Amino acid sequence: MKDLGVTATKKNFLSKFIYYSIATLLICVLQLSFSFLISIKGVTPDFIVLLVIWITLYEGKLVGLSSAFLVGLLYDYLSMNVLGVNALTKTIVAYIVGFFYKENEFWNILKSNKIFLISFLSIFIHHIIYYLIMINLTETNLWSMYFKYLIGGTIYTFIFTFLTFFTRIRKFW
Amino acid sequence: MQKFVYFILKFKEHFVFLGFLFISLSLILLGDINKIGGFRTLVVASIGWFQKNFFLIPNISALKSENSALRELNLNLYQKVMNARIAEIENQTLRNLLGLKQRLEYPVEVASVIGTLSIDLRNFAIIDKGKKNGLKKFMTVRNDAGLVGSIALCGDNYSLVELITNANVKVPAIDLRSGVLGVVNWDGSNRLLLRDVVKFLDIKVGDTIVTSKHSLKFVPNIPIGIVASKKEEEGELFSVIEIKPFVNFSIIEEVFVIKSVNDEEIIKLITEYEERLKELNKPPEKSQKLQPQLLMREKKKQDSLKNIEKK
Repeated sequence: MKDLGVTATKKNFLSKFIYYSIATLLICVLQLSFSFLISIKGVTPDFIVLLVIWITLYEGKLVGLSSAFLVGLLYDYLSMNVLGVNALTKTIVAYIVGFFYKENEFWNILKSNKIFLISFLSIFIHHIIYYLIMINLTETNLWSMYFKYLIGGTIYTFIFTFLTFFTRIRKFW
Repeated sequence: MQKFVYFILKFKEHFVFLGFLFISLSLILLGDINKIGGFRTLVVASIGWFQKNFFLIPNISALKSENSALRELNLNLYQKVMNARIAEIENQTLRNLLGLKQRLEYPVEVASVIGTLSIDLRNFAIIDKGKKNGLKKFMTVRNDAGLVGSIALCGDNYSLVELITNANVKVPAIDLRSGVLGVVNWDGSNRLLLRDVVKFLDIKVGDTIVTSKHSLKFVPNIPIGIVASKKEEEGELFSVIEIKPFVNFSIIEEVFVIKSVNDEEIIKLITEYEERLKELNKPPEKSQKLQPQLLMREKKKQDSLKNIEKK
């Protein structure tokens, strides 16, 4: 009976791993290839943050941290950015979201108003750190650019996060 | 050990988070940091802050080398100060021995050259200071480089400076090295010459020429120029010595008027002499007939001039 349980857990883990890997790849492709289609004055939503929030709230802090780091690293590699930037910011997001994780409470959190607070807070902190690192110092209007991407990016990503969770709660997908 | 493992397991999420942060930051630092200006600034600022606040133990070897360099510099400076003191004492002793007066420090008035003027082939500069500023005729005018000229006319607010680049201006001068006396005079063709120097006297190219104390107009020891060339022509008693002036007369902007003039009586005599010279040099009017009384008067004038010259 014990062996059967372990095998089932292993199978479950493997299926989850495959599921998340496919989701990660799809979101990376979406972010890299299609996000520019919905950009507003250069501001695009960050779908990877959305994925990290989802995994952390669903699977827990440890899995969330590991997956955030790996997803960030993969995205850095695919986007030819400096390796480690997205890994760092996404790990921080997972760490913040991890504080709100409760076992078997995923759907309850999703249905409560807490999800908005979690999403907004984590996205906002992510954008603060990300654009602080990535800001181009040669920009003439440095701070206005910074706040444009910070505020715009946060709101835009938050709208998509809200839509995703809302449609999931309503079981549209 | 068990407690330690238990501690790590208890806070494993935090340790994992710190581990990932460390790896991420290491990856960023290993990558092309120039692409991410903000991060570079953060790193530099953080390192600077840490070094300022936490690195209390200084770099001993660097301090040692700095200390030895400073000691060496200190020794050199101390030696220079000592040399200067010795020179000052020697100078004082020699002056006392020779019974020479201490060099006078004259008060000066700073003036700006506001224009230039040419009257009868004489070159003048106009300065923005006059009698109201305590200036007088015959005061010496110089700039930071050397002698410029002397005040020829003095108004309330402006003065006319007669430059030494005039053929009629003669500046008694001395060779600083050999002490040979001469007269500096402009030859009218872009050359400043040291005249009245007999061939056998010791004048060399590169010698510095300054105003001598025999001048009635100019303050002594003001640099004029350096000897540029010396020619000795056959059958001539004097050498042809060309001087390269220190002052660039084409760009004089600021000058110093030395507020020192000779005795009023001497100035009066010079003025009188110049006026009489002018009268004598006047051509006789065509209608004027020769009269013995006039001739006698002229004779008296000439005699009086001779007397002044003797004085």
